[in-house]
Amino acid sequence: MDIDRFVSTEEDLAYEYELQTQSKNFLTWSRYLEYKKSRDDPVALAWLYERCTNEFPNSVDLWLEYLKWRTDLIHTLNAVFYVDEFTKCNALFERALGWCYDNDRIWIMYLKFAEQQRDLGMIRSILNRSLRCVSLEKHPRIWESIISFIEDDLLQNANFLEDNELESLMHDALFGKEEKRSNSPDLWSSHMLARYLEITDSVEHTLYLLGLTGDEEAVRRLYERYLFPDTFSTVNYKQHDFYLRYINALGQVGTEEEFQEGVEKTIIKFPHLSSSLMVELAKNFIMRSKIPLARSTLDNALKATTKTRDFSVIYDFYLKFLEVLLETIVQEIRANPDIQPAWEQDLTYNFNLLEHLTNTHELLLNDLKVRQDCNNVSTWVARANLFPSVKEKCEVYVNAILAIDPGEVHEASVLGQLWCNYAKLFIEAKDYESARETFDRALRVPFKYKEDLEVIWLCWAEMELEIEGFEGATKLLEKALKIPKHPELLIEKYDKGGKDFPAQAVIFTSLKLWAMYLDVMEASCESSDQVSKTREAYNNMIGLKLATPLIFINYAHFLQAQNMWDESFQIYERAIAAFPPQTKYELWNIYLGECSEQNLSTERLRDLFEQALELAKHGIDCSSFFLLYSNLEKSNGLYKRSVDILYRGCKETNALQSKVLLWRSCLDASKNFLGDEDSRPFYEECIKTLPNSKVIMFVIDFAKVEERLQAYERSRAILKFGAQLLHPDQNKILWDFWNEFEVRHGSKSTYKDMLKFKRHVGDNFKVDTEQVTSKEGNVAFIASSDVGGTHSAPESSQVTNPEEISLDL
Amino acid sequence: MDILQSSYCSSSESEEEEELVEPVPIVPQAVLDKYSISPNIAKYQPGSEMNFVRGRWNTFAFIEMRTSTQQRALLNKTIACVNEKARLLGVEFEPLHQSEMGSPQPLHVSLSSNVEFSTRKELDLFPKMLSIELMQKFPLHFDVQFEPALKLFDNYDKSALFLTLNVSDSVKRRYLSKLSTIIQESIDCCSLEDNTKQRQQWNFVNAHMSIGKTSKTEMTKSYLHDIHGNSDQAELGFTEKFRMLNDVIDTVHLKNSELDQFSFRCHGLKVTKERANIWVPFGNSTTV
Repeated sequence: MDIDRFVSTEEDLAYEYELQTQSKNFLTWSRYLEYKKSRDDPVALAWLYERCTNEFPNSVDLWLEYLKWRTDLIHTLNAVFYVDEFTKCNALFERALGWCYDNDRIWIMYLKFAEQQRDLGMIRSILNRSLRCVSLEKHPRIWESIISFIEDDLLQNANFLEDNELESLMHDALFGKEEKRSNSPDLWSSHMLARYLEITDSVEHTLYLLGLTGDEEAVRRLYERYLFPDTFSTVNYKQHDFYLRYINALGQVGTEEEFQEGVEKTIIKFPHLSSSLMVELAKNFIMRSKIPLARSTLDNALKATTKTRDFSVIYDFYLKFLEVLLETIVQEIRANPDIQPAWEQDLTYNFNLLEHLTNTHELLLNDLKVRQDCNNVSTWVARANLFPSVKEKCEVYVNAILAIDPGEVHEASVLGQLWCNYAKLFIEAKDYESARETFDRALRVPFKYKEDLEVIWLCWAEMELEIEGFEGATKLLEKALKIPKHPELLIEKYDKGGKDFPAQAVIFTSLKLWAMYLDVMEASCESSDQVSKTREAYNNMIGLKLATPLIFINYAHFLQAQNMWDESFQIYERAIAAFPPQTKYELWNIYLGECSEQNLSTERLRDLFEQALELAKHGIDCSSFFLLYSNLEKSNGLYKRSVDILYRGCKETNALQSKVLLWRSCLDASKNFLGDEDSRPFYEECIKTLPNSKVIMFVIDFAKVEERLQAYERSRAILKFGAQLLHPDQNKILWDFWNEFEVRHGSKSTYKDMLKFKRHVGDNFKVDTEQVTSKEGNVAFIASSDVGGTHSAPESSQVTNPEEISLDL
Repeated sequence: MDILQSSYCSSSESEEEEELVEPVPIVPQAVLDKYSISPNIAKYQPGSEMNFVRGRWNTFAFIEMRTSTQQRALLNKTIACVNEKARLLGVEFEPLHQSEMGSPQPLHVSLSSNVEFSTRKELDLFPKMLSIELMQKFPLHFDVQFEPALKLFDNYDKSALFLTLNVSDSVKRRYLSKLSTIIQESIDCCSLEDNTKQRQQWNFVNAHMSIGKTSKTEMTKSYLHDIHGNSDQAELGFTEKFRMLNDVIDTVHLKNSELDQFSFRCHGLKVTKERANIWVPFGNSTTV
């Protein structure tokens, strides 16, 4: 050994002398090592480390330091090209472990160094030795190193579920296996993980890693062991992913029976996985070259699924399966045209199937909806619309009728409409007997809703009207509307009993059926017998409290058409007694109008008007009745009475518009029939009661009356009164009239007074407004000190406002 | 000529249109069976006769005949012929092959009286048991034929009269007697109760198919009125009128060609279950 090469400087000599005297002084060794590190001479440093480790062979820290420095030196080197260097290092580790065999840190460092060399045998050997040497509590630390190596290595290479899996599976199934592509299992890792599973608490993650190894046998065996006790649960991964992985492994290494059993067990545990599992099952059949079985599995799964998501998963895979199947065959035929005849039939069959699957997507979706809820009538109706032919539509309706439970239909009239749709197919084919048979059966269905029966009866009646005419329809509707012995009781029970009570019990309360019956009856009403039957029908409706105001009016008109005026008026009176005030008003309106056209006695008419005017007490606007009543009295020559009725109307009517109208009529009538003088009290009353905005025209009119009577002062006083009601700007008509009045009848002084008064009123209105707004409790606007815009007021004029608020606009 | 041509064209077009109407398959038997009986509304009516018994489950077995248009026309003719004569005695039969609203109705030959079970389970079991019995002991099918003479029957309280076609003796002896026995055995097997009384109420010898019905006639009304007074006299009077009416009806005979129209092949029977009918095929037949 060339000592001079290692001890070349003054410092080296100094340290060497010191070590001669104090060879066991670790501090001196450390300083010497530090010095050597700074010299950048690895050979010299290694020489020193060797001497030092010889001196302190049990020093773990020294070994660790030395090993670290040593491994770092070759960290970037390729373990194959520089195998000698790595071997030397390995020997160093072995030497260190010879002294410090129970130190986990050195073992871990050695493991990592072995991992760097990718020498799996060596890693396993180091692991085994380390586990034997190191105390039990330190085992997890050693395993961590191995697991992290597996994880990093596996995660980079895990690719056993590739996108082209189906393509390769299909090709293998149809044309035999090709050379396997790079998917050999990682048996070393799976072996390690299987061992680790025995001691670890982290079962979930270890199983996950095991799944990535591709060692299907180990996956199947260990997953079965850990998954099927129901205690298995996960935290970081989805639980069902483990089951899917298990199924996948089972598919590859298990028998067909084992696989199917595994699928069934998993479906029971995770029903929501059924679609994915069905896909796996199909793939498994493909893998076993059982293409027809794979097809039928998908077909059956598609027809059995009840969830939209499952449906789309299976449907999409089924499409892909057929596409890949066809593509694989076509590609093979292209490569080898001789095989074409042998595959022709398969090609045609699967192509047709693919086409059928694509074309019937909507129908298959409808199938799904039917499976989800066979009592959803609209799904069946939509299904019928998917078929063009009558025969297929018929089939849909029949299936719907057989499948639907009427008690589970939650929408009124839809089921009845479905029966009608079915019957209409027969009607269109002119097979009326079958249509009747269908309607007849439909009426036996225990519908929850009256509307269902209603549509069926109506549809049938319309058919009979078309074929048999009025007689057939009438007979049918009479049957439908036959009133039972205790109708009120049935109605009450139906209303209370809800939907458990069959609608057949209350079909006689159907307004639509009654309306149709009456229409048919009235349209065919020729004999007295039919008249009485029609009347009976109307009376029955009234008796059952089904009659609407319109029905009453129709009844009255029907009777009038039969010249039964008194009976018709009685119907109006029955109607008026039955409805609320607003409806009563409408009925009175028609009734009084029709009465007025008939030659009824004045007393009777007065009586009717008085009855009708009772409505005014309920706040109903009866102005039209007052006008009609007044006209009646006028036509009888009772002018004073006529005016009094209008005056009464003015007082009893609340609606402003009507009130104004009535005052106008009252004052006109008063002037015409009673004269100007007798009209004065009416004018006074009118002006007092009407609001300012409406009163000005009446004031002017009153002033004209006084002018005609040459009572100019009165006229002037009235105008003065009217002038104060509104601001002169809004009261131009009155001021114009007053102006003309003064020109006609006044003098210079009265004209001046008028102008002075006008100015006074204008000023007063301003003051008054301010006074009103400043009253306590009223909302008042207060000027802000911030004046916007360019026209700001001079500073001196600004008054500080303590109640000012700032608006952030 | 143009007018002629245009009218000729339009008529031919309409014929073509008529020909284009796609035939619709008849209403399937399953639909008719599902909704055989309307909901019982009478039970909600106070004071009306109690037409059901709580906790009792009724059924009865029958052979159903779904009539064709031709058969219905023949039945109409036959009933009209009977009515022409019976009207003299104040009786008029309403056809049973169509409802009062004109809808076709199936006719039936009863194979049992009304059977009462005490539980729903027994009722459910009955058609299943019957199906097994029929499969084991009865041929696949037989032809139902009728006798040429019409016959009159009354109901249990004589409130209604029925115009019937009697099943031919050979059919009764060869098939209906056997069916009756099988049905009875099935009932006995399903029911825990004693059915002797019910068994006595129906005999295959009287097997018939009702084609017309009359109720509320003078004859039945007077019987129902008199029975509360002098019952013997009422019974006697009714029997006499019944005999006279039967004599009148007996004069109406159906021709063999007409009878042949009513003959039909029977592949199974039906039993009622709540508001539906259950089809029970003979042997392995599934034809409806």
